[in-house]
Amino acid sequence: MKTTNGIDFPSILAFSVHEMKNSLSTISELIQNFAKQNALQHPKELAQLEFEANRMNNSLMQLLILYKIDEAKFCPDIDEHLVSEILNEVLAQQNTLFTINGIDLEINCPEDLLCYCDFNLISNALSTVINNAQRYSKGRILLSAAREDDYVCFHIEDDGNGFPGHFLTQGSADNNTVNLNTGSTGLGLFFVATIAGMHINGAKKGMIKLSNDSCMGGAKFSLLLP
Amino acid sequence: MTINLKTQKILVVEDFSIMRKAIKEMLFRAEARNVAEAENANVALDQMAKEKFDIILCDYNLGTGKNGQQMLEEAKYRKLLPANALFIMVTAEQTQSMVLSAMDNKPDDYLTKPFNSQQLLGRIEKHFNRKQFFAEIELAIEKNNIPQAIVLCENLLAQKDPRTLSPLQKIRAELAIKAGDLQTAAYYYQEVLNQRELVWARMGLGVVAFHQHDIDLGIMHFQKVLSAAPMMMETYDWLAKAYELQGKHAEAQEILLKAVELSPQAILRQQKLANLADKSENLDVARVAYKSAIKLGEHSVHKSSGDFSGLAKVYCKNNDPKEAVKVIAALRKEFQNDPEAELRALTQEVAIFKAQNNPDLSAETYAHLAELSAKVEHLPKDLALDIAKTHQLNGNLEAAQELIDKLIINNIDDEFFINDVRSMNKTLGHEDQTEILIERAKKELIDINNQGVNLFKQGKIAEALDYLSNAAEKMPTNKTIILNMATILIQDMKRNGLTKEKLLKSNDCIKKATNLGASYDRLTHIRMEFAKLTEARNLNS
Repeated sequence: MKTTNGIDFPSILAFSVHEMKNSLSTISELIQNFAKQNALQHPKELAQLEFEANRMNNSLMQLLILYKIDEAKFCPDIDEHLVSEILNEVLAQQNTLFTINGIDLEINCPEDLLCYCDFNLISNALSTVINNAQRYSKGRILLSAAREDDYVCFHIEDDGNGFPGHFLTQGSADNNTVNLNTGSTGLGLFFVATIAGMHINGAKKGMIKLSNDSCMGGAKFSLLLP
Repeated sequence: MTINLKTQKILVVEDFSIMRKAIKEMLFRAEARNVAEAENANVALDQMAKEKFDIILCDYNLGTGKNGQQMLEEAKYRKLLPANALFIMVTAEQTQSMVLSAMDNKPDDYLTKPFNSQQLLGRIEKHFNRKQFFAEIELAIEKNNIPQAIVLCENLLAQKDPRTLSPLQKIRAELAIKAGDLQTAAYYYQEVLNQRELVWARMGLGVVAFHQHDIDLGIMHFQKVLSAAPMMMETYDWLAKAYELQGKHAEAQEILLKAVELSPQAILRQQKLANLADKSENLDVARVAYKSAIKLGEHSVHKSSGDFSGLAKVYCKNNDPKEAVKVIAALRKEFQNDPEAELRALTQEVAIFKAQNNPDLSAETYAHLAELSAKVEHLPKDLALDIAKTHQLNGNLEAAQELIDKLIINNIDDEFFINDVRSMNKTLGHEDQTEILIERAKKELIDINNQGVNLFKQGKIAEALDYLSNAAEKMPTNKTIILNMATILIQDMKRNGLTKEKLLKSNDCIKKATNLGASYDRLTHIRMEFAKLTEARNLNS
């Protein structure tokens, strides 16, 4: 696939991403080391660094996957997985930030709950949402999962001020209504909604729901997978 | 944490030194003490040849040499990867894993960069626990003891733990396929599908149908897989195989073209496409596929001189002998001191020089080819057929006939190849004669086997084996004779007890027949008989 100038864009994209990922890996590793040594001296700056590194990584991942979906070169690799293993992966991805920020993350999920999904895709999607939730949380986040009717539901709830009104009116059952113009949170939600919709069982499709019904008084994000 | 990394031998393969150091530090902090590192695939393979690692973390992108997938392929091919070892491929992006997937050469997991120590250890622990759970079954499979693996698997299934049910159903179905028990395999795949439409289970039903010779049903399942998961690359290979079996070469080619467009990295698929297109004279497709195969072969265990000669042949047919000459030069450079490659080069050159209006040089090359080919034993069959054709075109009908005779006798139980011989002789106008030869070879094979079986029935076991061994010397790649030898050895041991020598010999026969591509039905039957024998022996000792 070459343009008129002879540029093989997909290859360049792949190569650039590889380079950027290597850099991000190094940055993340350095942040972790710093966090152990000087967490008390510069906690805010470190948290900001880790948050931004995560965000760059999430944006890169979203960019690539959405590009592949658009090119019809992507389909989720769906199999049966233990929900607790997915949540462990999310925790592992976000733990540095929780520690630096002093956020108390509670995980609540039945040990033998199973779910049909693409493991990497869903754990990355949940990580993206959690990364954002930390910015708005005052100190507590609840990550839970449970079977509800024909769906396995993942909930991310915080104790912040909740979603602004224009988020709630647009981000519900229909994935296409998620508005991209609401900044990085908007892109993240658009991504999660898109991949939720690729999880299909018979006539049922995955979806996301946004509300301010958090048991802790803040925002509540829900991902429902059939 | 249930895994103690202290006792694990770990290999980190990564070209980027800072990254390598970072991963090593993560592992050290988790108490790992035995961590080796390699900056490229060749160094890693050397290390794997010297010691057995428990965990291998390998970056897909390793710079200029082999990539991680090619390294995994070679490690499996050279049997450098212990059955219970954990292989995790590190990729820059998640979508890479799909494009890479190739039959039989999958890592245990893909880990996307960047990752932190908690993610890395979490992943290792998850798969380590899984491996522990299946370890006994895997060990039985490695020892080729399928009946024992089935017993072990059924014991675990009886625990009825919903968390391990579906992976156990998958293994049970795969074991049933290995055992030739296709109905049981279909039962387990269907059980999974009753819960959920999962592509691997649908794929399994397709494979079962294929082995049951219900090719139409197999195709239906494969198509259903692709409509749900168009990136499930191995499905394209099965679908192409099914179409080929039905003689639908255009469809087979089309499906492989689609596959290489989505995932151009799989060398075996490119080779298959090149050969198919070459045979059906679809020269443009063949040229592109041969070129891709040559490029991919640069760092692959599947590198083949046949791809070079194939490409040269295509250029020659396209009236571009100049390009063909270049390809032959590259062939000679890549395969030095390789008689098979030299024969391939010479065979093409005879045609190339003729196309360049240089009959003298062509004749000279042909003489050289004739001389050298007489010296080389056991030519690959496609090359032998090409040489026979060259003999014929150069008026040496006797030599051509002799080679074709041998080819027919040797491969009379390979219907695809016999059809290739037929179509070649058709273009040369020798149809009738070929048919007579084929009939004669068929009859000869039946006679040989009857004679072997008769001797065996009369209790003359040594004579029966001698007789078949002699026949096998005459036609060393004939699967039927080799399998009959294995059968007689096994029957003999059943009646008269086991000996180490006979066990080794029958195991050899089974391996040989497997390599020659003997049919699924016959192979599974004999493998199971053999496994029963060895199991009885283990119980007695």
